[in-house]
Amino acid sequence: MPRVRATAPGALRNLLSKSENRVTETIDIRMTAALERVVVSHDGDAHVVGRPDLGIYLVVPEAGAVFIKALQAGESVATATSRASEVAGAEVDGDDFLAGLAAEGLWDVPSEVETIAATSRSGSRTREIRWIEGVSPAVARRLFGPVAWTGYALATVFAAGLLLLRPDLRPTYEHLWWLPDPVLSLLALLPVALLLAAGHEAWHWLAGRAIGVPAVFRVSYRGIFLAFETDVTQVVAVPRRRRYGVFLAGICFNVVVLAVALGLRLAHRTDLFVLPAWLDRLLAAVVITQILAIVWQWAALFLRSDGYAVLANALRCHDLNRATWLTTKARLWRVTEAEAAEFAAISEHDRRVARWFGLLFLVGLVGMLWVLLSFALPLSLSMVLWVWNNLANPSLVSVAFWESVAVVTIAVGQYAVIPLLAWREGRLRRVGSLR
Amino acid sequence: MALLGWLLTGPYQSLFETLSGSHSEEPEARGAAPCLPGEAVEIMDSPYVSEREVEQARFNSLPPTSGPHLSFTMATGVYDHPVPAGLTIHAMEHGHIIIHYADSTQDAEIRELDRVARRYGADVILAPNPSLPHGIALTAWGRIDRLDAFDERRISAFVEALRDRYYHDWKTDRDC
Repeated sequence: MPRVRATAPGALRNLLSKSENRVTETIDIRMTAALERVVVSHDGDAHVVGRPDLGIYLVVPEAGAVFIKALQAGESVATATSRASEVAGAEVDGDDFLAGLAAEGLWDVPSEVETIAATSRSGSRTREIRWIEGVSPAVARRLFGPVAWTGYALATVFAAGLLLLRPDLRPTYEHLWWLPDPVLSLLALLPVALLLAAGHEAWHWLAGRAIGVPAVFRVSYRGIFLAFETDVTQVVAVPRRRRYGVFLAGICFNVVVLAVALGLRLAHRTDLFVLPAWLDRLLAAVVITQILAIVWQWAALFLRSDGYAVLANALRCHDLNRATWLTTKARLWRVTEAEAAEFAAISEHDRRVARWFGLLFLVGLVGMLWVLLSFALPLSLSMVLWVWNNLANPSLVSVAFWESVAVVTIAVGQYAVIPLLAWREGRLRRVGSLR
Repeated sequence: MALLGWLLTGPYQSLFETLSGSHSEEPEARGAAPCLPGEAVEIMDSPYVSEREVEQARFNSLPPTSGPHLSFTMATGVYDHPVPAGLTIHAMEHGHIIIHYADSTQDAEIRELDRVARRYGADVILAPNPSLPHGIALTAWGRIDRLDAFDERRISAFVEALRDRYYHDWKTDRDC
């Protein structure tokens, strides 16, 4: 969910008031490329201008939105100022408004200069919107039309019903050891889990494509772990009621996979058809991954999960996460002057919702505690003890011993070497050996 | 903190128990429980040990119903290859039932065993056991039954009476 800063009520309005009888005929060429990257949308009474590529979104008066749109349409500053003045019902100062947006960070001037230089060399001034080729919006729309949403709802009911009525299909952490070797169990499950994680993010991207929102699908690394993410920040450019599909799409993917896995396991149990034994056990592990994925999206609200995006959208908030954090911090501890100023700049609506939204953060924490106690801790404790026992009583001809060595090596590399490298880098910087 | 404390001493108390395994019990502690299928087997000291130590362990029954075992367990279901005793013991420690069949078991019987194992998918592990001289053995924590041939009624009775009877501790005060 993109974070939208509400400007202090007087700030941009002041900038829009006439201070000097000065109107610039043309805008600086540096602004031209930046304007092409600005999205303008309205959200009820609020108007949002933003730079998805910079991740900056600002709430502005209607006159400001009209001013930007006029510039984007190729009008001169004078004409855009005139249009904004009509809407505002008073003379406005377009130059100061542009300066105000620059002060808020909407124009990243040095990079615009670089961009202008680059585009001048290439001769192109087209806006970069990264559409992922291969899937047409028409095809994407079929995955998020009425039939599809009915399917997602039925999958949800089916999966929930099975978990409720068939306790034997409910997951336990034991299911993660679906092979007799614990390391092999987790290693063989890893590509499946990664594929499903990629599917979750791809569904967000498809949902964005279905409603014409440019989205970027990225693959990155968090330490040694592969991570997938979808950037749909430009969703602020569409009305709120159309955003739910994009936010819920990933969860829909998880629910469908969960329903299919549970359905196949039920059919296997009831003799409808017989799966290979290893596949039934793998599906049990998949059920865990999907349940945890769905629980995570609704529990990790404080990490701006998909569930947070849905709720913040429904509550018509722009910066609810930050408002809730600051409200909670003020209640439990104290806030700094800068944080107090930041909180004051957040809209009254967001601050009002934040007063009780922290309770949902707490509920989410309880959900994460359930995950920890039911799955993560038992799994981790068992693995640690297994590794410990194998290293304490080594057998050099044992696969288990060498697997234990590998686990320790990776753990040390992941959790100890990185801080050591950071410490070394800091030390070298202090003595001037590293720039 | 209060919630965490309640959780760790209540529903998730087994987390502490997973750190140490189970302990031996005198034969009289639980009794022969004549109402239950099969026969009682003395429960051995059952700590978590390494793979090497499990291979060197000596058990008091074939197949074992307790004893030194591995700290991780296994998913229930059907296995086409033999499963180490260190895993089946931990599975029984979690209240599951193991159905062992000898290498000489006919394919038709194995298919029937497979069907029963699938029906009790959350409770049963089915696996071949080369150390069995013949027939089928059913094991639960501290309990064993031996069959010369497939007997669905007897297998079902064993599973239904003994599943979840133990999970790092006895879940019932008395069996009969």
